[in-house]
Amino acid sequence: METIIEKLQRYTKEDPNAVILYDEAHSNGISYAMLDDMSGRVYAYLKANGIGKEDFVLINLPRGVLPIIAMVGIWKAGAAWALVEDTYAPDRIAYIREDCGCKFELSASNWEEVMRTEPLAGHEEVDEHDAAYAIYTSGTTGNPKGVLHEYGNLERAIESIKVGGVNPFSGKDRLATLAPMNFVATVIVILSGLNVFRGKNFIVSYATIKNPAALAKFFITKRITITFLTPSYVRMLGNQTGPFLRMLFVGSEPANNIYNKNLDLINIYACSESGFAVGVFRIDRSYETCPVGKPEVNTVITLISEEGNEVADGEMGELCFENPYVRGYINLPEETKKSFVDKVFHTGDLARKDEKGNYVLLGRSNDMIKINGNRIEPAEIEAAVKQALGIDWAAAKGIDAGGKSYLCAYYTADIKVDSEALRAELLKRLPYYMIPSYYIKIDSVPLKPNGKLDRKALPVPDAKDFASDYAAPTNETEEKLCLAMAKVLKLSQVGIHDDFYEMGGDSLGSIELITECDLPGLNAGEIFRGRTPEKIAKLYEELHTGDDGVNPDELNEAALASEHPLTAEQLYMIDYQLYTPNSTMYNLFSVMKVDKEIFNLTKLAEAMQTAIKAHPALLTTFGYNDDGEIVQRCSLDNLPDIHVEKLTEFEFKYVKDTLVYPFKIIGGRLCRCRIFETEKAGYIFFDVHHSLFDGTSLKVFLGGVVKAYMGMPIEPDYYYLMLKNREEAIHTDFYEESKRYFEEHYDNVEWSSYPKIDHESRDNEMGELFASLNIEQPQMTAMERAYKISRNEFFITVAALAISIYNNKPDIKLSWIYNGREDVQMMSSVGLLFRDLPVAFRFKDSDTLRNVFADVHEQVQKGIEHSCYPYVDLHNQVAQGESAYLLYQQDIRDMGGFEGFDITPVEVRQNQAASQTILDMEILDGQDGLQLMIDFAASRYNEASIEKFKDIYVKLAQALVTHNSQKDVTIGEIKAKIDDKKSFFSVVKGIFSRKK
Amino acid sequence: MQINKIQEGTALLIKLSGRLDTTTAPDLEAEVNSSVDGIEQITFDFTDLEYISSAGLRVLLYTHKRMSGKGGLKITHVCETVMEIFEVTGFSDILDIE
Repeated sequence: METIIEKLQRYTKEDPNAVILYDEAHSNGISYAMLDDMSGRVYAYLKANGIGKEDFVLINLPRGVLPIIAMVGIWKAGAAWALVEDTYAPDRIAYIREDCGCKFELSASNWEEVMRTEPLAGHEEVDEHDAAYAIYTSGTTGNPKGVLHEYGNLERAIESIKVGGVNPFSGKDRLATLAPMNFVATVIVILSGLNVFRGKNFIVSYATIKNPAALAKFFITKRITITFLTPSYVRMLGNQTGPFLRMLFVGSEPANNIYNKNLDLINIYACSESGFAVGVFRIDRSYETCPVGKPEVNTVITLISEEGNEVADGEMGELCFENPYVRGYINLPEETKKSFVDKVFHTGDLARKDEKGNYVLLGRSNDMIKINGNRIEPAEIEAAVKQALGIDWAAAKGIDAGGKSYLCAYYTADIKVDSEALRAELLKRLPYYMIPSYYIKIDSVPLKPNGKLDRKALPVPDAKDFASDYAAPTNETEEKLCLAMAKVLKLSQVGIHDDFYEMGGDSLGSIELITECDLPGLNAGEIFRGRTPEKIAKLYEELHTGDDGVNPDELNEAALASEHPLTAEQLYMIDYQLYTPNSTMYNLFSVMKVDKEIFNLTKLAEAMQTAIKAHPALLTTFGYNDDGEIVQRCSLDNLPDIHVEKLTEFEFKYVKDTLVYPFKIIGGRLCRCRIFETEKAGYIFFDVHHSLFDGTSLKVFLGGVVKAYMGMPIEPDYYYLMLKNREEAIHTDFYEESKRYFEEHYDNVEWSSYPKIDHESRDNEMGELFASLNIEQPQMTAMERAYKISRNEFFITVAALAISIYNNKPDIKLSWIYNGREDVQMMSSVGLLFRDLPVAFRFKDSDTLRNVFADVHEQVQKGIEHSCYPYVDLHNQVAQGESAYLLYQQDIRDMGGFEGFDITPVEVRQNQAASQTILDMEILDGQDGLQLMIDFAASRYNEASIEKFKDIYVKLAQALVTHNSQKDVTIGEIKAKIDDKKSFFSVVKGIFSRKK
Repeated sequence: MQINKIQEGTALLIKLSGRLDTTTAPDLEAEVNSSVDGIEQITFDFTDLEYISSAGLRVLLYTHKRMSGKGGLKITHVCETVMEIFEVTGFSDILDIE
């Protein structure tokens, strides 16, 4: 590769008189020829004095073009430089001179003499690992420390400055160098300027820099196009950047809350120890924590946990990068060993990767706070507190005193803080363990000599007022719950008053908690109701003391012996089936082709039969009781006889299309299974009516088939015990309370519950529409993190808002599907176990998205808590204004252990009749990305209407995922975004450009 | 749902139109209860009935039982969809459908 010195010699040949370097003393500039000549003299002088490879030369020249000429001369000689400016204290200059062990010092006093030497053409050959320069930076001891860079880093510096993969500088550019000459950023800028043919660089004097008016004039008269500034300077500058400036590099401090639409604002992450830009980020909007981007140069960045392992995506770790051309700190072997490990530099900066793969700095590892074993980055707390209070400055600090660790937040603004309200607001923004226990107003910000916040000097609150104290468990049940919660939530300690959901628990977490805590019979509903270990334990003891000694298997046996009324969910489904009696939409069937070489079909037939026998729902038929009500009963008589049916591939081609036909709902068997063998393959056909089966049942059932095939026992199924429990629940006070809860929240409002229909019709045909949401998984993760909501809650909100926009109505109600498997027993059971739960919204344009999400989260939780009362199924009217529902499905391809067995689904024909509800939206979240599937009553909607609704849904989902920060956005603003076609296209364009 | 009753002696003809579902089934049950005294035979005319839910089936079954000792329950003019409902629910085996 051509080195920068070789490149300069080529440029000198091509256009010797092109002027490239300017300062106030050289206002007519230095041309390539002059640079070559003067640096040739430095080279000659050094060479004559025996200075070369691995020798240091101290540059102690006035700020301007001379130090650059000196640098080039020293590099021609194959030596290395360190640089001091005349603004440095003499002590500091003396220290650096001593520390780098310089053989020679180029200063104002000997410059004339050096310039009288006859210039030497050419340059010394160097190795990429020869010493090239040292950057002196403040050390922890108070003395500066020098970072030794090798020649290889010169090219690396140039390579690292790219924007979108392209060198942003051209020969037409006029750079201004404003930063001190020995800053790593300056070295990078100087090299980048020299690298471009005819690129001009103006070294601006401190006198001009300190005078904003003079600087502004300088920018205009010199027609400066690119410069490097600190973000605070950019903030000061505002939009006053003049007509010529087209690109501004910022760095050395967080580029938060800056944006300038008039020019390209590029955030550069570099440090004295890198010598090149480790991250480059084009600032496309104002960020409260601006990403530092990703490297443009070929380097590997890893985020390392405290334990020394690479952290998972999205998690925080110390940013470390490959740094092959930096030798370490001069004369500091211990520090070098600590920070430069196997050519990888450990920055001490904490960072995480955002959803677009950009790195975001979260503070210094020294600032990191540890509370109860959780690593906490003050920057995140500070950003949240600032947004929540609408203030400009806040700080956070972890305090460890008197055996307690807690967080304290500080602010200077003259405001009254209602700590309860603030806590509630922060809970919408931060994980539980990051909520400060105290908020203290301070009069002034304590600063370190370098002008940075002195976190240590922030006052410690009076620990007597400590609000939420740890309370130890008082009995065995509480202890089990505390320990299990700590494990599930990955906390080191949980007290009996700690709220599971505030600490970050969700419905999935509650299932884990049940599995973890070894309290037989405990179910998710009880966790929802109790929330804290103390209250859950109390509920558990109230509800389960009678359980002692009663074996659930015996209870299940007893329940199996009698008939049971249908659940509200089953009845609603049956009523829908009756609406279009010969529809096969509720036939949950699959036809699968299996490899005869892998599966013994006779054994498979036996396994299917064993698995069906293990699940009473599959042996269930419906009949009438004496009151004419539909009831369900289980009988072994309903076990299908499964044997291998031999036919030819030709015959099967026709037989397969006759397999799926309506069930005789009352009195008929509701589960069918057949196994076929052709000369080529085996085929399994399995069909069950939806009123006895659901999506999770399929996974449970297939898992059972695998087990039976392997000769292993199938876990017990408690479907009939569940039925009995649901019947008994109806007579409890809590059922009444739950009924009241739903009625209070969802009755007596004229809700809009589905996208308005185009036609009334008795016909029922199904329409289906798919759309890719073009949302990437990391974006979803960022969303979940920013708002502390689940994907389910996110998509419910999108659905409601989409209906609101489509119908132009503010009051929206819809249903969502809760999997309903509330305890360990239900997890191995087959049946229609899900619950339909309502969620309603009264959208106002002024609502913030955060509050809407918080509300949905609350409704989802409360709905699950009260799910014993089937509000939706009791209130919906078949094909008459029932609420649209949203179903979020993850891992739909989960084959329950059948993966990797080369099983392929076979398409078969079924009749066209449908039992389609007015409209439902399913989000399919799997390996292929996020997809929206809309099923709708085709007789009621025009195709164009559904297309339009789908577009709104997709646009909304895409617009919402971009708002994943502490900053608030209102419903009104989101609506405006959806209406604005241009912004929609930019969203889409953004997505596509990322995909590349 | 609309209910039209025509009584001729001990025979009662009830014409239903619309949907016989969770909301309307109790109305039909009340009608049957209030007029069943002295009635020997009930005929439901389903010409304009478009849907029967499980709750509706329950009332039909109830009426069938109440009339079983007497002249029975007869159902006439059943449209195709309702006939299919009767088929998948086994009602076509229980009831006298013309």
